[in-house]
Amino acid sequence: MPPADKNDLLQGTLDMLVLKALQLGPMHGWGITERLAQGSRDVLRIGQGSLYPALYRLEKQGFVGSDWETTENGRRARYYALTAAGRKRLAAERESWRRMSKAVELILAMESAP
Amino acid sequence: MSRPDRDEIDARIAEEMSFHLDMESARNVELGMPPDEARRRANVAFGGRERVREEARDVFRVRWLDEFIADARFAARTLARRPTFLVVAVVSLGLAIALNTTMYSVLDALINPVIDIRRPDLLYRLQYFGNVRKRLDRRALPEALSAGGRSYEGVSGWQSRGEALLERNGRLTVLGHDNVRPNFFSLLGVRPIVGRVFTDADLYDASHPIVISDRLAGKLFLPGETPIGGTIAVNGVAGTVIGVIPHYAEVPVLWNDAWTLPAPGVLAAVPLNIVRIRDGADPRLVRDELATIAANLAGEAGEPTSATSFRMHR
Repeated sequence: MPPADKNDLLQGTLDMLVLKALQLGPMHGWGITERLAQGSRDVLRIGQGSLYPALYRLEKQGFVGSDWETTENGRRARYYALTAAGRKRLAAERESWRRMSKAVELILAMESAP
Repeated sequence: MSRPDRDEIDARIAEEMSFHLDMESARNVELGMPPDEARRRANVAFGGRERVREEARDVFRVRWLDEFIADARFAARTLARRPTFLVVAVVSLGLAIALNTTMYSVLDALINPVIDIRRPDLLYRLQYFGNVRKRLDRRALPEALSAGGRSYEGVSGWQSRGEALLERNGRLTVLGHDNVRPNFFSLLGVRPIVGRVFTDADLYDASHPIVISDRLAGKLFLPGETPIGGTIAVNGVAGTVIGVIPHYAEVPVLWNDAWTLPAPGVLAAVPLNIVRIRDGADPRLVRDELATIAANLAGEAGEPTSATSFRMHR
């Protein structure tokens, strides 16, 4: 079986990753995909078709806010920023992820009986 | 963010997509790709744009509903704190809505008159062409039509008697009068305002039952006086009112104001000129069935099949 494609992303983690990317500071959609790609050393490439619906959903839930701003090269872009609710949500998601990954590690570390 | 309409949402998504593709293309160019290839790769990487648009619209559609509910709750809390304002606002709105509804109802009744009869879309006019009535018993044709009817619910008929002099207790008026078959109103599905419509038993009722319109009732009966059981003379023949139906000025078979039954011996003189097809029946199948009945009647009468037919139309 070939290794998982680098675009594959564990279901449910996208929102957490987007919130984490925005914890570093407000950013537009393309910038978020770049942050995630750089942060994962190019392992995670978020499908842009998934990113924007996720951003709109997070905005609707109040975890991010957005506004039009001008980029360094003079282009108008929609910048997203983490809200207070988003920060709390991120903390909860991180804790949940830690528990989950630890549980998976424990399972993978199980050894067969001699 | 204020509530965006669909155009605002689409414009926002389009601008964000355009920006994203431009940035991705520029980065691809920096990596050494020719501009066309850079753009193509960016488009491929982006994926289905329409899906993104649809998903985004779905998110914002739900948002409108959420905000509407929140606004409604806020309004309810505000009004609850100001009861006098609430009463004035509710009464004002109530009056305005009532006035508008009344005006709409009046205009709607003028523009789109309501036909308060059962499924008028299933009613057709029926015409018979041929000579079998001269060669067969006069009951043969109605019996054949009544015996058939897998595709139609029933047949009935009416015969205009022209304008009649209608009189009650010295009050006179001249309005249209029809003779009808006993099942005429029930086949049409007309609901009486008061009283009832004809049944077969009324054919033999010596009191000469009459059904009248509410318009005629208004002309011959005093306000508050019940027409049911009242006596009306139709061209000098006294009859008893058994039912009052609405005046249907827009329905040709019903636009007269007084209906009586023929004497039992001359019922066949009232032609069968209305057919109600069954719900869901294909009118072409009804026509086929009527053609079969016509052919059978022609055969019994020794008439050429082509000389006998029924025509069904609106």
